[in-house]
Amino acid sequence: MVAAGLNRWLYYGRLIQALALRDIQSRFANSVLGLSWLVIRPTIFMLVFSVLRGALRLPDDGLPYALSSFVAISAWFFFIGILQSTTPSIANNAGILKKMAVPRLLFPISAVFVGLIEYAVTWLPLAVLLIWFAYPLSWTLVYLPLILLIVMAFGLGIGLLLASVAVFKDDVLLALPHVIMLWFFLTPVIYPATRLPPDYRWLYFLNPMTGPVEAFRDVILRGAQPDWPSLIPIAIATVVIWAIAIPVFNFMSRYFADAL
Amino acid sequence: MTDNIAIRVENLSKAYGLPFEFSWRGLTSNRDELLSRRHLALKDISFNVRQGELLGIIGRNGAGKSTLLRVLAGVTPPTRGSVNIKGSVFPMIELNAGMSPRLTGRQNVMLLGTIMGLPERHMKQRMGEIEEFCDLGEWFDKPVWQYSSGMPGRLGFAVAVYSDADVLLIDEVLAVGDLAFRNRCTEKMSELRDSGRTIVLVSHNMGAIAGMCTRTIMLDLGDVKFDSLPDLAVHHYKTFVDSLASKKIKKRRVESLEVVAAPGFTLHGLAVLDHRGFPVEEVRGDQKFSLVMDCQIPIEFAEGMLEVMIATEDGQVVLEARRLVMIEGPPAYRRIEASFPNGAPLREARYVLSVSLKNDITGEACITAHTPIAMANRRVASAVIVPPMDAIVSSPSLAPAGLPALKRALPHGAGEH
Repeated sequence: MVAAGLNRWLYYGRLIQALALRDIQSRFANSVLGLSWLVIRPTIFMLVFSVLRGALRLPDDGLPYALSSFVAISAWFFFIGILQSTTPSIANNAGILKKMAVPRLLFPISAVFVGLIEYAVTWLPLAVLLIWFAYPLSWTLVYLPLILLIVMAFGLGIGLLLASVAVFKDDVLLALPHVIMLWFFLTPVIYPATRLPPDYRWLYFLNPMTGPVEAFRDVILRGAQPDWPSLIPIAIATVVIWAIAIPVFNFMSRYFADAL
Repeated sequence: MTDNIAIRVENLSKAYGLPFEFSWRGLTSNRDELLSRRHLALKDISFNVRQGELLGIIGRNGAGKSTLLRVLAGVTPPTRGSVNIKGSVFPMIELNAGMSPRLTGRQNVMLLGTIMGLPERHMKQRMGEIEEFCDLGEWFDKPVWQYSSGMPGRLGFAVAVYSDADVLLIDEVLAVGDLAFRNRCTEKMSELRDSGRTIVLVSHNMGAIAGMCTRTIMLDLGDVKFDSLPDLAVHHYKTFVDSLASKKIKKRRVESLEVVAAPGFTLHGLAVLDHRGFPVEEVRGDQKFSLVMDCQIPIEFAEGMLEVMIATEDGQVVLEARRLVMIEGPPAYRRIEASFPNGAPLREARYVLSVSLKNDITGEACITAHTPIAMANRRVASAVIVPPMDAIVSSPSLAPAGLPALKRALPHGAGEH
């Protein structure tokens, strides 16, 4: 049924949109609070760490802790949301995959867009916090889409790789929460990277997610440009991941229907 | 000459799974090795479907019907061979799958249309017709999870029918929905067939297959066993299923000829002959062989079903053949000869050969005989084979005691009841 040329791209676009919409609609269709659940999760994290901060002696860097941690937590949730939704995206769409020859790549991509929509929703409480702390946004916000794009590309690359294996072996899905938790503490989400011991800071920046998380703080709160060199690790990691993930996914995707 | 073939399937084999295997010895990606090791859902099948045909596919569960549709739909790649389809394809393989239970019927119809690449305009234009065809009333705007079991399938079928695709692949629609809906489906499919659309329909509803299809293929164990007019295929399938039901041979060893005969029937002798007509105990599977049965049959028994089955010693049937035999003329000693002109590709082993003459109306066995047999063979069939079999009934004038060709004479009185 799929047309050629431009029509095909339109079809892909419409399908991604329809799948993303379906995911969002069906996820909250049966809940009373609906989309507000997307707000509740980062807010709870922010509150928990605001309370624990004293006990854990988490450092701060002059920014209001609630604001600083909320920006980073919502950014982090954006990233792991992509991992958590792309990895099972193939299995979740087994019904369609087993039945129709739809390009398999569209499913993880639409999962990424679900993550983007979810991130957009977290801007509501963020706006409230910004007004509360009287923090004006600066022009550097124009860099935000770029940073989001970088994180999306990185997350999608990992997601494609995990998704192609997750169809055949469940271990990936079982391991994912643990890896994510470990990664969470290794990334300056609930503490600012600027307060790390200078001798070890370079080590931290080997973690591809350190740069982007700090960049979210820079462009939203500090009114500064992202620290470009700190984004080099994620750029390299993304290129490497994609170079591996795309061929692997393309090959494995032909056999998805066999395993579902 | 215009080539009006809509679907071309050539030497298609399908084994599920990734085309490589990891093991302690390393990576195996040799196709032949993998194919020989794995279960083949489809075994080297070839057929064409012309445009405008409504092809029915029948067969037991696990025969490969759904796998065939999946490969045709392009959902899973062929392991060997090729599939070519001319025009757009709309597969309805699992009718309920791909639906989001939380969304309403109408939303699901739109989603399904989008997934299948139908323009929004098309869907909006056809929505009225689709809604009418589904005949779900108020349920059409209720979430699908509230539906009763037959309802979601209606949505999928309706979208398929109004998709304007050139080729429709339909799996078991006739099993869902109530009688009224099924009748509408049948009517609609006949209408589509007449408008030149090609339809491949998998169904267990023999009435529908015989009533609508223009041609029917019977699959079994991944192979095309029969390809003909729907009535013939349905008849063949029914006969086949009956023979399976009757072949639950108990696990036992048969050391020598064993006979059970109904009153009025007597078996005087049974022999297995090789291609030259000599009685043998060991059969070469790559050459013609035949079975000769000398018996006495009551006068009112004018026609019967002759069944031949070969089972392994643990009771697994590996060969089966059946044939209607006419018995005419005055009552006399009858010689029934069943021959296998192409032999039987069976693994080299000891088997139990069973011959049975049945009343073809009641299915009641009149004479059943079991005898041990050995096969000497290089060719090996992995599945139950149904080789061609000829059957001739003659009336030898000689008394049974005078039949020297019968190697195994019956033990005294064994044929009496």
